[in-house]
Amino acid sequence: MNDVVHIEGLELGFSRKQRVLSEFDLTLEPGAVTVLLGTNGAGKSCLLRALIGVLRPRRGTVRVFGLDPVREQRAVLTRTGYVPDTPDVYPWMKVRELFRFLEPQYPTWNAQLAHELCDRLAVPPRTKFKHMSRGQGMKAMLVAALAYEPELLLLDEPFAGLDPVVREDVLSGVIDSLRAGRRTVLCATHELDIAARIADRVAVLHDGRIVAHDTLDAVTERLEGPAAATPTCLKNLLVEASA
Amino acid sequence: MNASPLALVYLWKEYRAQRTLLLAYFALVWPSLMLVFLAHRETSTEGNGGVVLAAFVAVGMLPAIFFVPSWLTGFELTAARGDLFVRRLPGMLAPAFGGKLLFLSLTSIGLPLLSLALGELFVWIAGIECNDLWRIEYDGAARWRYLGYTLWALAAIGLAPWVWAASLWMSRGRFAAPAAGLLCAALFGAAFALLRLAPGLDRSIASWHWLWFVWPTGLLVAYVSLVIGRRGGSAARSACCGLTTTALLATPLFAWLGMTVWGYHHPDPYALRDLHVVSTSEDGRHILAFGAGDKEWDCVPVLIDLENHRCRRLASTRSWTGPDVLSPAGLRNRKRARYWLVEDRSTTQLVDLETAEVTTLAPDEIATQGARPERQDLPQRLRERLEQARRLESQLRVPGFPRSWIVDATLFLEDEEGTVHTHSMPHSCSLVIARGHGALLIGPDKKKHLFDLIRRTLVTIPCAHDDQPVRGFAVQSHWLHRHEKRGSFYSFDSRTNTCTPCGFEGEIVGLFGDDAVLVKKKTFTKVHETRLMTYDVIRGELSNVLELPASRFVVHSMAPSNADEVRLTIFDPKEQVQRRVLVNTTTREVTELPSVPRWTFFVDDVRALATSEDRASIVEIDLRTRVQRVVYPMPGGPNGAR
Repeated sequence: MNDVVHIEGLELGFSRKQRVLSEFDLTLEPGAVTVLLGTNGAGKSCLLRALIGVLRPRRGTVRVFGLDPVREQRAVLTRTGYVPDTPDVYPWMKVRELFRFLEPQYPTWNAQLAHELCDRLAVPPRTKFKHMSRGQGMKAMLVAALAYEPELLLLDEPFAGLDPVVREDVLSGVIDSLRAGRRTVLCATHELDIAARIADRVAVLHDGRIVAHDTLDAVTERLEGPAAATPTCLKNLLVEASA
Repeated sequence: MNASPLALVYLWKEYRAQRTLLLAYFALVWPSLMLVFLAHRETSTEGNGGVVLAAFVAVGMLPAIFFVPSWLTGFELTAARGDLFVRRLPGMLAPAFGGKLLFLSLTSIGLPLLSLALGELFVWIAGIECNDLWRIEYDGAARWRYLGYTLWALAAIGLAPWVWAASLWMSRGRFAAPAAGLLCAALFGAAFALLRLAPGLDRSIASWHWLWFVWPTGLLVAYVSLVIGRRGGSAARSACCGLTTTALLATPLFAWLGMTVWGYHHPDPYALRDLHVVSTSEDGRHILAFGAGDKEWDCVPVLIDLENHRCRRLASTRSWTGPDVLSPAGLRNRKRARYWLVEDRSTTQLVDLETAEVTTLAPDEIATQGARPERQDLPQRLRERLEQARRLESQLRVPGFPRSWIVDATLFLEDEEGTVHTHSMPHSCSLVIARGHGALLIGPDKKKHLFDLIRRTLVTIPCAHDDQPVRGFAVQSHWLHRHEKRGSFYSFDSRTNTCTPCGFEGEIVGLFGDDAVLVKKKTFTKVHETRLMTYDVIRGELSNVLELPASRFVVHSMAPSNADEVRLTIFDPKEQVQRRVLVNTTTREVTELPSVPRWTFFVDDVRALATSEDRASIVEIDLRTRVQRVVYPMPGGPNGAR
């Protein structure tokens, strides 16, 4: 039970009829960088929200650091960083104010690190979020998620819709953070080049279940075989990426 | 900020989130108010400063009640991800609740006070008088004129936590104020509907004070809706948790209220308050009384047996109790009535006070209240007993006839030998009120007539004051009444149709022999002193009987007009006792009897029965030794064990 994330038989949904994840199992070992691959609407974001206790599982077990994220949400959240796909901070808030707001909530907040990351990623500290571009906002969110040095980093498609320059900035920020320590990362995306650059392991999510969970090469090899259960589009994408 | 408690962090966040809108609101409202009051400036010396200040306080309260609470939730929502940001922070839920509660408390207190301060400044600069803030009472004391409004305003502030709670239940926090208003209206409506079932209950449980519970209960519901409802849930889960908490809070309150209402209508007969005795049996053993569970509540009729100390509740508060079993009503003396009718919604009971027998009458025997028809379907034995009671307890007095009574349109006169003479009356009557040797008759058409029992004719007094014809009092066909202009008593001789002044002002107490009337005459020499005098209608003479220092109320024994003695009970407010005197109608000799406590309802030669000062028990007083003992309720109920 030293797994950072342990999910067993998870069922998530918005209503009784609409199930997003069903009989979902996943385990993340400490220090592993796992990329969660799946098409839009596959349930990647819902899974990440269940891991931070925002969504209550309908059935099954979710444990993060061995804790129930719904019941022991605070203990889980102080050790988990989360970067959403779009900046979700109050539009009236400035980056500086965001850091002042977050600092008392995280015992491990590193103001020096936050300052350095802001400088490196060129995040404007005195600008309100409503006046920032999407790329600036995402970089600020990344800084906010990394500044308290979380043991688990959850990335919910943080690179989607960014222009190539900013995308590279954000990605380099993520890669730097991976180098900084033995941090466990779960990155949801449908961009295979990102998976190729950062992933130790790839988990393929389809129809509410993990259909493949292994190294990128092993998954690609398996998906090309006759027993592959993944849809053709994703298979093609994976083949293309490995090539 | 590192050392700051998380609640303060969230307080700062709420301030930053809401300050712009609050500033915009006040920037719009305050100048508008000032312009309005400058345009309608009161020029009187009293001024309208109170109205101006009240308006400023009101506009300060509006955001505190309606806007700020719903914004507490609404401002968590961002366009991108709703309230995901705040829900994924470790400081969410309990610390956030603390910060929001602080902000709500500060705005609830601060905004009205800030607005009041600005109003004061405006009033001072504009030179508006504020003398209308205070009202000078008749006793010279100055009273705060806006006390009622202030209390309502404070109660309205109690709605704020409910608006906050409702905002957590609604999608994106919309329609929170109307939803909270509806919920509170439903809860208060149900509570007041229960209270309406029990008039006076609201005073005894001080329902106004319960309004203060609106604030903490609202906060508790908001806490559960946020801290528990939003833990891994959305608005629907918040609503579920919040409404469940509301139901859990309301259930014991409504259960208690329901039990209190039940207890109101069905009080414990051995723990009654506000006891007042209606009638007793001749020996004082059986008592028909009214009592309630609390002083402010409606009473229920009970039958108490002082020998075995048993008490029986006869009906609920929604009942009618009266001695008028047979028509016409009003004929019998209530204090001496043996038979009483107790009508509930579903049952009619006939109570015999002499035997304590309670007979349940069949539903088809229930008479319609008000227009009470003669009962035709009573069992023959019961009817005979009731007719006998009507004969014996009639209050009509005719010289030469010891007993007289009326049935429908017939006057019955019983002479000394027991022979009954009948006389037809001009019309039938449903209500008869004795007026000395006459009676006030009220027929089925509700018209009132004075009837001379000696001459057996209807009488019209030509010079009576306003409604005094119906209050006229007959002695030997002389009708004493107040003059329409002078106010003093005049005597109208129905035989000669002439009015003559009696020369006194005061009250008629009752008959004094066959030719005179007992009068309580005011004296103007000493304040609060009266004299009991007799007025002989034949001679037109006033004679002194008794000085009544500081006495107010005199109760006449209603003895037959030709009785040798008249027994008077005089309430002495100074000593808080009932003085009892016996006046000989021939010699005018006055015999003082032992005085009894104020609330005495039964006296014989050796003892008196009275309700205690707190009206919660009945005591027996030995008239020789003056020793008192409680005879109802006995500790532990009848025979020591209920």
